[in-house]
Amino acid sequence: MKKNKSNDERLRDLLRGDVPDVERDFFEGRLRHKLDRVDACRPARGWARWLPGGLAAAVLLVCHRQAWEGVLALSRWVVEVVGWLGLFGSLDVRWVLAGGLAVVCGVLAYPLAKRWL
Amino acid sequence: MNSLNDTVLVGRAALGDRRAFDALVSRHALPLRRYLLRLTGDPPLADDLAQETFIKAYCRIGTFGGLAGFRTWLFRIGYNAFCSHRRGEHEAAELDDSLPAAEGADPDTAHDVQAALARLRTEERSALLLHYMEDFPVAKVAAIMHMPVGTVKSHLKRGRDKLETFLKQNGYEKE
Repeated sequence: MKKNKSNDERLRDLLRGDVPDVERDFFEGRLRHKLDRVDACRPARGWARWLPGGLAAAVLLVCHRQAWEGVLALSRWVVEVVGWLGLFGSLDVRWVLAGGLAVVCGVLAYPLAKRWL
Repeated sequence: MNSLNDTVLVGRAALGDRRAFDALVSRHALPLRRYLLRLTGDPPLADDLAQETFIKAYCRIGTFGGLAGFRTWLFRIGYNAFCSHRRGEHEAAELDDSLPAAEGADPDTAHDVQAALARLRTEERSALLLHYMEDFPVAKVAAIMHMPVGTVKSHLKRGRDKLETFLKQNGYEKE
């Protein structure tokens, strides 16, 4: 749409008028308070999202032999690949399992860490 | 923080940086509140809708794709909030002459402008405010109001004609 500059500017000035930025501090303060409350609810939502899945996986590993054997097989495969690449000569399955556990704990702890850092 | 552009601030806010979002609020609060004030004619309601808009934007900032620009996205949320409010109070859909003028403004002019805007249909008023007052191009007005560009142009034409007629009748002749 082609705009007629002078008429449009006149209309813009008229519409904007001198609407003042009234109570800006009050507005932003009230908003900040509401956003704080939103933030306070967020970590709980993060945990709620991660925790059930993490617990289900842990229960599955403990109770289901095949799942545990699958994890062991995956760890052995990682050890083989690492050995084939010639890295970490002393790496064994226990280290891979410990590393995997550390990664899982890190992912689960991330929402909490984000809250405190 | 204030020297950074919207895209950088949105990226930081999406990673949980509250100061980045506060900077976005400082930058966009006045235009959004002004638009909602002219749209509703009710300062407390306009501020409530603006607060609702910013909270929704904060909660959904991770979903912002960046295609339309943050300002357009924000005004779209604001317009949706206004439409939802209007649906809730359908009898208040159209404004009337008794709407309060903007507090602190020149009372006569503010009242005339608000009275003129009150004569427009909501879609005409919104399109006119977004295009002429907030300088959004027609395509962005269409994106904010979920309408085809042609429909927005029609609303602009009709709205502007009505506004000019009313203002001329009230002594706002072209200088």
